[in-house]
Amino acid sequence: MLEYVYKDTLMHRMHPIPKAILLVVLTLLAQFYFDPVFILPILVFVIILAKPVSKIPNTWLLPMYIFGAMSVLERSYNAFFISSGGYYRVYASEWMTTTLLYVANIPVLGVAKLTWGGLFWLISMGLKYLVGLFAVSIFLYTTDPSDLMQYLASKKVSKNVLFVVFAGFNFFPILLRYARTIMNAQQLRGVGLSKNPVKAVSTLAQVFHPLVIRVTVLADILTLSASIRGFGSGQYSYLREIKLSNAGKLIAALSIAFFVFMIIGLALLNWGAL
Amino acid sequence: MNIDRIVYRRRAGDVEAVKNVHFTVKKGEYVVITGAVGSGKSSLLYSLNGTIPKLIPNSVLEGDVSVLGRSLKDVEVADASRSIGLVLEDPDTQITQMTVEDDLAFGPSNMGLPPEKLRERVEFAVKNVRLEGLEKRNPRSLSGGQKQAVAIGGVLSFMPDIIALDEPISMLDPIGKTDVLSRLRNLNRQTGMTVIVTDSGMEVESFADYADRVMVMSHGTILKAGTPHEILTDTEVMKSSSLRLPQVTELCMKMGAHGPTTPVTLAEAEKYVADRLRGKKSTRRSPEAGTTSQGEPLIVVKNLRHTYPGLERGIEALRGVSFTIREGEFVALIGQNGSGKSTLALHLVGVLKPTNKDAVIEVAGLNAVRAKSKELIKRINYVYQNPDDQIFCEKVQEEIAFGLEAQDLTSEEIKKRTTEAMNIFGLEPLKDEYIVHLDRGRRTYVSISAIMALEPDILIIDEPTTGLDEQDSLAVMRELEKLTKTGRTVIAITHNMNLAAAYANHVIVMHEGAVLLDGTPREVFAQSEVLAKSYIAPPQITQLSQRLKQFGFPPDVMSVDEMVGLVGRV
Repeated sequence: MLEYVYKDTLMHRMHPIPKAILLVVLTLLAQFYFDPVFILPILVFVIILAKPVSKIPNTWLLPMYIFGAMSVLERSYNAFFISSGGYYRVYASEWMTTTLLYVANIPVLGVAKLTWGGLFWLISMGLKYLVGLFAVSIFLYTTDPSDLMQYLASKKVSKNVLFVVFAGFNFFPILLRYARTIMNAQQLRGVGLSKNPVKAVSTLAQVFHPLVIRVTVLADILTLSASIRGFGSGQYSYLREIKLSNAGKLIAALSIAFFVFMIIGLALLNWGAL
Repeated sequence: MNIDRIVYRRRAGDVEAVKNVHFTVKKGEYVVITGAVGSGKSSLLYSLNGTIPKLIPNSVLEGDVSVLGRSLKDVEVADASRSIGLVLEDPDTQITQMTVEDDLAFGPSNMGLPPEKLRERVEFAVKNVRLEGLEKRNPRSLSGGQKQAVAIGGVLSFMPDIIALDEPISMLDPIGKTDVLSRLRNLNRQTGMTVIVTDSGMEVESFADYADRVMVMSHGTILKAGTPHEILTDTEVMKSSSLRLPQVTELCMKMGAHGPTTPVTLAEAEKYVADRLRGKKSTRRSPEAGTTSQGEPLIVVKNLRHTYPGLERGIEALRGVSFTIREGEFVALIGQNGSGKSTLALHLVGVLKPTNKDAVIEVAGLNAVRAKSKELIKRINYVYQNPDDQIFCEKVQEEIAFGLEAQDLTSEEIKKRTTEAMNIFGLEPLKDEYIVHLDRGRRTYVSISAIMALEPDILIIDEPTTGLDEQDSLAVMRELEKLTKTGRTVIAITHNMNLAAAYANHVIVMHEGAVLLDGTPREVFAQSEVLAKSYIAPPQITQLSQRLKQFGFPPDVMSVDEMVGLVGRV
């Protein structure tokens, strides 16, 4: 999960730098916009990019949906309990502040009121998360870390930074594999299956113990494994020569130009604002 | 390479793990360092390229290691690794890249070699460790043995002057073991690459053919060094170091051979026995092959398929597997690396589900595909290959009680079962010890005991003897055999054919996701040509009997004593 898988797709073949620029631009625009009408096409475009990559089974995409749902839940508080009519610059304030749902006197929380504006805002939050998660997943699934490191090494980036990149790409996939193995092993010991909720919680707490031990030594393990293979000796070369093609340069340039154009549109014409 | 009075302590003030070791390795030598677990072999090996003390926190190393006259004290590990390649025992700690070919190229790429040279080195490594077809796979998704092959290949691609390997073949299939050692031998002879290998005595038959020199370590010192003949025929040294003799050596000694001229390899033993039996023929056959247990069918598997996601079409790990296991059987599940043994085992315990709808997996009356985990684990359970994958608590007693506490048992029952489980391998004196401080053998005992405390009817144990020496391995196998005598069923996934032949009464051979052979050990090991498809070689004594068929020996001799009996009848 969340690690490079070899396939022969457009996104796999793309140089890491224009790929990163394209995905960062799409993610940033999604973050700057609050109108779902503007974020939705970005999400659709990202999904189209992900489609060939998503021959990886749907279960690997499951974390994205979970995070998206969690994001909506988290933001729901703001949508229900914080709403201000003066916020809206594009849509008519009267419409945006029309109440859809009203619940009075919720203990502790007070009055909950969902308006059209709040609903739009809530939907935009979920869409932002999905765009970000899809973009990160596309990058991680389609980018061979050694290609990225080759590019950085060719730009004379220091070995310490290279090691951070190397460790970063390795850390989470290893951690997720550990977690899956540990959870399976604990399932075999009956952990979390007790009907007694106190017992179930206390035994589940021990899920973290082996993970913490593994994580604590992971940095040492990565350092050891890299060092005994000569990493850090100062010389680097790579199996595949990764060159930034003209197409890659064009994609990077167009992405940046599009970003600037859309941000100017936001600033001057309220594109993407509610 | 000169190792000058090395003394190593894990921490200042600790007992010495390596004590005043001093020896020289000549260029082009093939040296095997053997000894029981905890004898100091790995610590010594890690000091050869500076891993100890530079990368192991708080460790203290005295003395000096020098290569071609240059001391390693002032050389960084990354720089030293160009001339001294190190393969660690645990391959998971050595994998750094996302594809096999990138991982194999990682080492030489840190030398700044051009892409075409890197490609050559990768192809060289792929060929030498039999990873053809796996170049684009994520190494972490491979089987344990395949990962070990990647780790070895990753250092071979360096083409270092010296290659040091810590228990490099423990997880490889039998033919893979001899393959790797023989290719190292070829490199050693053709390029002058110096080879230093450690082994805890479980692969003694494998390295006897290749080593120039064998050193036996015990309690941090070198007990004896000499040629394979000098060491492997010295029964006193071997016994005192908890090492066993090669099966053919044991046979020849029982036939009257003694001293360093006693055969230690299959070829030597074949000649020795043939010379003594010239013109004679055995008229007795070995006992009947027998049948597997007559107990009730306990596990029934039909048409089990499993495809892992990934690459273009997925990886078909199991292709229509079908077999039956009966109550009370001791089953050895064997097969080449990546043949689907662990995948199959995980289906039986319900961790994995088949990817075809018509698969049948019945375990002790339950449908393992649909049964709730809580019910299934009362009947069948699984001990992982790496004990650290299923250790959850800090101390031994806590760990063994851990699964019991999740079962809603009374505290008296938990205490009783915990005590009984600790007594299986004599862990009671260690009950308050921190598990991280125990050696691999003790941690394996803890992980097995923790599962046995749950008293499953069927126990699956994945590579129970990996990383263990002879003494610990026999202790584990004896306890597993005792279980079957109480009516329980054991399935041991193993690459140790000697132990499979000695303890199992049912052998299932996997090959590329399907069952290749299924029968008694005699029935299976007699078919060496079929077994070779799955990179399996029968025990050494069985191979000897097959080579001596002109004397009327049957092809299914299972033990040295049986062979001695047959020789006596000639």
